[in-house]
Amino acid sequence: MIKIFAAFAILTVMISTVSVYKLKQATYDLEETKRAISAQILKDREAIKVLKAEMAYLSRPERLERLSRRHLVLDAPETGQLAVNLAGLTVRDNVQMINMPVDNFQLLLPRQKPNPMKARRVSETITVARVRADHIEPAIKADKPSKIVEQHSLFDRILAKIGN
Amino acid sequence: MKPIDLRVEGTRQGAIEVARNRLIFVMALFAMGFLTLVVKLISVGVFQAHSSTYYQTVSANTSLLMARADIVDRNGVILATNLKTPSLAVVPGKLKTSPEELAEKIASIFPSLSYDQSLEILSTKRSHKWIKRTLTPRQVFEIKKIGDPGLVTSDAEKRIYPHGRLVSHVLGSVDDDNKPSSGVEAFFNDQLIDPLKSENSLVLSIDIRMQHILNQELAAYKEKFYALGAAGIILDVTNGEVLALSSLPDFDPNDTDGPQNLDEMNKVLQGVYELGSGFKTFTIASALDNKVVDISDGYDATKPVKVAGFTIRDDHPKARWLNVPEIFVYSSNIGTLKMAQDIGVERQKAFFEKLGLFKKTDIEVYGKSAPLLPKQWGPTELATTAYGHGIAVTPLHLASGVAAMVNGGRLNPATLLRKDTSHIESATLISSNEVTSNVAPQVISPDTSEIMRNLLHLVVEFGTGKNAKVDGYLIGGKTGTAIKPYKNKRGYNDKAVISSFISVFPIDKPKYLVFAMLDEPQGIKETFNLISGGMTAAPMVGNIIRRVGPLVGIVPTKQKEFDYEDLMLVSGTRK
Repeated sequence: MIKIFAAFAILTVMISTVSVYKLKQATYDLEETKRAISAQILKDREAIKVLKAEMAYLSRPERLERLSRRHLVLDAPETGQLAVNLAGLTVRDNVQMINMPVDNFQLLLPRQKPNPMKARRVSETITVARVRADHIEPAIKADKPSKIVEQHSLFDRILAKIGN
Repeated sequence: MKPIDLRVEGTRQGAIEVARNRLIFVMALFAMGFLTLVVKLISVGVFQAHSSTYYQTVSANTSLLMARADIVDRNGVILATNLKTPSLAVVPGKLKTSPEELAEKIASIFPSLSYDQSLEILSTKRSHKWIKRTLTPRQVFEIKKIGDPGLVTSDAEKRIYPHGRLVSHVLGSVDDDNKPSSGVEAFFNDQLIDPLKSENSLVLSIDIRMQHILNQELAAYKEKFYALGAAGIILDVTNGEVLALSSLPDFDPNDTDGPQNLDEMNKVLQGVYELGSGFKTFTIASALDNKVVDISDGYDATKPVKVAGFTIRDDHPKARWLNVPEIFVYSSNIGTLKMAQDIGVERQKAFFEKLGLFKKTDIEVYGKSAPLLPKQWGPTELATTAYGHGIAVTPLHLASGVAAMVNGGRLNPATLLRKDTSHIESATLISSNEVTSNVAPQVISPDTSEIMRNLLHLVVEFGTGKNAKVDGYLIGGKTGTAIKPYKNKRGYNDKAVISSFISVFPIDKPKYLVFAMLDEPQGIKETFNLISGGMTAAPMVGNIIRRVGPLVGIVPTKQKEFDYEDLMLVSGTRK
């Protein structure tokens, strides 16, 4: 009896020792991983800082302005291009605003027939984007062949008419 | 099978006994040894904690990464940040190659170092000497390629200002050891280097887009009029936040450690100038608020006035009786000084003091200038201060004061910190209760403020500030043209002026104040050689408003009628 008990006790001690050791080792490994991860986080955070600084450097207003002038056919907005609400966009006097129950979107209701005179005035006030000369040139070049083709076809037609 | 019971008797029995005893003794020893091992194993496994060395390394790394908190603008755009940059040093004791050979290689890697310079550094007697800070990755690669153990690269932190010169006067700069020299870097140094707060950024009230617009226009007009310098500020009149602050010439905080000479000082905060007619805003507000004059009252401005031996003239003489709006709109020195004489020295002084013109501004920068005040207040001083001479203040004094004239009469101290930082993540470096002081003091009544708004508007519609007009916006403003005193002798130089324009928009509901000034502009053909504020600074401010307005979403208005317009006797026709 005492032998069995002793054997059991020894076995228990051995098993528990091994398991405690393994647990300890697992914890150590985890902490090792954690250390690696926090080192990586630090590295990443540093990289993010660098990227943020670079972002700020690359999006300097002065640079954006320069790039926009070179690549976009856009100009700074002018006061004439701003409208408070939809009513401000029209030259009509009698504009009634209603509130749509669904989305509360303000809708313009025309109260009179469109007036061609006023309509022309509106079209005159539309701001035409100022296009830099170097942007216009390709457009003109692209236009030219088509015009020639058109003239050519007209000439053809006249020739054809005379021929007939 | 039964075990055989073997028994040895006689003399041999004693020998076996001895052997057995010895065996038991050895076994006991072994058992004890194993027991010790088991106990030790358990104690190591269960009770002993890890050594904590790597925690220290990690935290040391963190503090190295974040030695100084970031500074961001009101929208979270980075204005200043710390980056790790490698630096190169020499440890002469470890050098394997001769200094001459090394110096040649190093000089070829760094264009800024000559052979002689690098040789001098390499042959140092000290045990460690810096060769070069902030290396590029390519330079680091080249140094590693040399492979000498005596050349040591180490990571150091460098303060980086991505926007370069743009915000230099607000930010200030730091030296090689990250010690700040000026600007908010110096003022908030304690908070910026606090390790507990290093993750949070300092949110300024500056808007980098407005700063760019202001800077660009100032630079353009400084060049156009061949001015010595230019300065400007955009202020939120409702709470005193500084949205843009620029002073030219400026400096690059990435290269230099703060302003290098007097020209590069911050003209808005450190320069004190006699700012001229902008002060008429204060005199008239004081007269109206003290009920000395009524809006329809007036003064005779037909002839120049003599005060204590000096003759005071109008720059834009009308040579007739002028009412209060006309005095302001045509910037009449005579009318204003007569008004000041009615106000009296005591009330005028008290009013200036209330506006904070007698002390330094509260803005968060060290080295602000105190105003230069008259030594004694006699009739001459009363007369000259009425139109902004004989008293020199910083442009910020004038801007804060005019902001109080239009915003309903409350004097908000100007601040460089954004008051509401709730929308920016990790922005609690300085909590808002440190910034928001008590309620801003009321310096004039809301009614007087209402009148001042209308008067300022009339100046831009009819008066000296016409050149600042912007289609669709209601702008109020006041020109200022002040002659500068000679540097080394008494008296004033008529040729050298400070031309300024202070403006508020939209004037019906004031939100932004724009102040711009040119230091000694030269006349050009386009302006008929005129260098007054209305010809030089006003169009510049008009341009700024034209660009800033749509940016911040100020809605254009179609209003064409103004109060007190009927009081004006206007020559010519309005469009």
